[in-house]
Amino acid sequence: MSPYMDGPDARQATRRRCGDARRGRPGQVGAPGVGAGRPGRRFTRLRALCHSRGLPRCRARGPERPQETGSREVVSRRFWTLLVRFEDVAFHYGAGPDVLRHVDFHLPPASFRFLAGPSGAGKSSLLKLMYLAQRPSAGRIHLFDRDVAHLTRRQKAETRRRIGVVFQDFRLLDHLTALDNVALPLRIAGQRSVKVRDHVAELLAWVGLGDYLGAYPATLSGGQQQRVAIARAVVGRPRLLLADEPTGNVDDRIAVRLLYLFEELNKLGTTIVIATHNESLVARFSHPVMRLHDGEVRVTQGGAAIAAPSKGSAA
Amino acid sequence: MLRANRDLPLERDASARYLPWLIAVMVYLAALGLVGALVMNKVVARWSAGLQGTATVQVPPEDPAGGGVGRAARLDRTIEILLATDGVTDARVLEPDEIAALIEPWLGAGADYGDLPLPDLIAVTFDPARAPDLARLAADLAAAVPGTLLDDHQRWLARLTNLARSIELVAGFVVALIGFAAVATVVFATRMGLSLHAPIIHLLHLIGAQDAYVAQQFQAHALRLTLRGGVLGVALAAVTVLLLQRIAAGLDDLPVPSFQLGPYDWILLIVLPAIVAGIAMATARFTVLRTLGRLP
Repeated sequence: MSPYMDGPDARQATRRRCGDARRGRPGQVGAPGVGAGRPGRRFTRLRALCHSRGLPRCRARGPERPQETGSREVVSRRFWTLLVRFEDVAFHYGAGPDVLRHVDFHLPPASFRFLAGPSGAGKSSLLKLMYLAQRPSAGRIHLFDRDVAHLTRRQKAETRRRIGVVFQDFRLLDHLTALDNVALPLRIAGQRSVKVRDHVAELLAWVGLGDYLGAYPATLSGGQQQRVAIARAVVGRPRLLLADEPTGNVDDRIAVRLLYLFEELNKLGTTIVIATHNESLVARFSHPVMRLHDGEVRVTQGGAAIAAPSKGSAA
Repeated sequence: MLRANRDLPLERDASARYLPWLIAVMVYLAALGLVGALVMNKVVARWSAGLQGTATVQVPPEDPAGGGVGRAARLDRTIEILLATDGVTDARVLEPDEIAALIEPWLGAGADYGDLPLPDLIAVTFDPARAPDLARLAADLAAAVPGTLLDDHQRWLARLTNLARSIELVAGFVVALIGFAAVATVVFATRMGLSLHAPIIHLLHLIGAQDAYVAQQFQAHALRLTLRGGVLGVALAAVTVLLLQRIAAGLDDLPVPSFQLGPYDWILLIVLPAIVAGIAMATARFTVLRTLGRLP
């Protein structure tokens, strides 16, 4: 991993612990079934770590802790600040039929989800709602604890800066070099060029494109363009990363490497949602899967359905 | 390698090619209009300043009343009344040479006008701060020396000033019209750019760009193009003005307004491109913010 993503070893280790814990991975601190016997001591330490490292908010209020209900992953809303919350959301294009309906789910910070389903199931539409490219036809969407329906244009822009998006068609700007493309979110955020250049160069090296800083998208292969798109999505250290078929243009070996890359980001505290129709890839990872079926969301894990409520709670 | 704030490829637009030329033509015309207005303003100011506090008294060569009073006596009497009037500081009979110089533009140099019954002219100077009642003075003079006329130049000066002010207004209107056309051109070019680059602007918004970030790129583009065109237009206008000045320099002996620009006029001409560029920049910004503000 590059220094850009690593930081000092001790700090990284702490972040990883904190990130893993908040993500609620099975077998780790903060995950269901772990630490339930000694919650006080473990979560006091976790809260201290999160606060001392300035990580995404872990609300240390009272004796709250993640709850578990059987095998279903449920994270207490009293404990976590929710990054994403969909409440009975429906969506359709123009006067067309509903693409999504009765969508209910929420994502805690530092969680990792696959969004699976056949082509046309509404994966991209769901992501569009999450990155504020579309408005829901019905229901409510909360991002970072704010109802997006009440955001002003300025607030919308600020919210979008906290979200990284890897578009299915990459959407790189042809007239800009790889470096400039990746630097775009930082420039938009008003960072100084000198700083931006160093950060971006390191990040491009991290995704294996250190020798292509000055290359234009037209001269890059599909896989390289995809990595530039991924670098652009993560360069601003977003709290939420949405990727629409990020492995669609690469072979399985590269696809798995990209997924590891997303996992590394996740360890640093970024919530990841990856839309894919590649079931074999999904099966190789243990992260929960939000499955879209007939416009509704169901949550499964490891290929088996672990929860299928009427209104598909995903977290 | 980094091209800060050039995320939109505006330099590749057709507007980048035609806008500087259009602006150059407009600035050229506006500069000439401005020069016209400045020259007329100077002429009016010079005429007004030159004639302020003066008047001319015409004394006919013969006594129209037939009283047989001699020419010299009537002149003396007139001077006496003038100098006795409160506010008059000087009254001087013009020499024949001076009268000849006054009528030379109409009769030509060396014309023999010795036999012409020209009136005697008295140049009167008075203190503008306590100017006499000229109507009363004229009546007194006419009563004392029949046929005497007092001309304070105001009648013809008012007509000339009117004409000059009208020309000045027209020149100003032309400049304003050109400014309006320039603004409309920038609005059109900006809207075209917004339409052409809608997908990129959408992407910038999705990445978190504010409308002002997009507007900043358009306004910088408009600034670059109009500055380029403006400098060219003003350079051409300066060459034209210098040529006109050169031509006008040979007409010093004719009663035409002098075509001279002062240092401040030249400074105004030089900053004209910056003014136009500033207006274009503001127009581009306003257009982008207004258009994007309408989006959901």
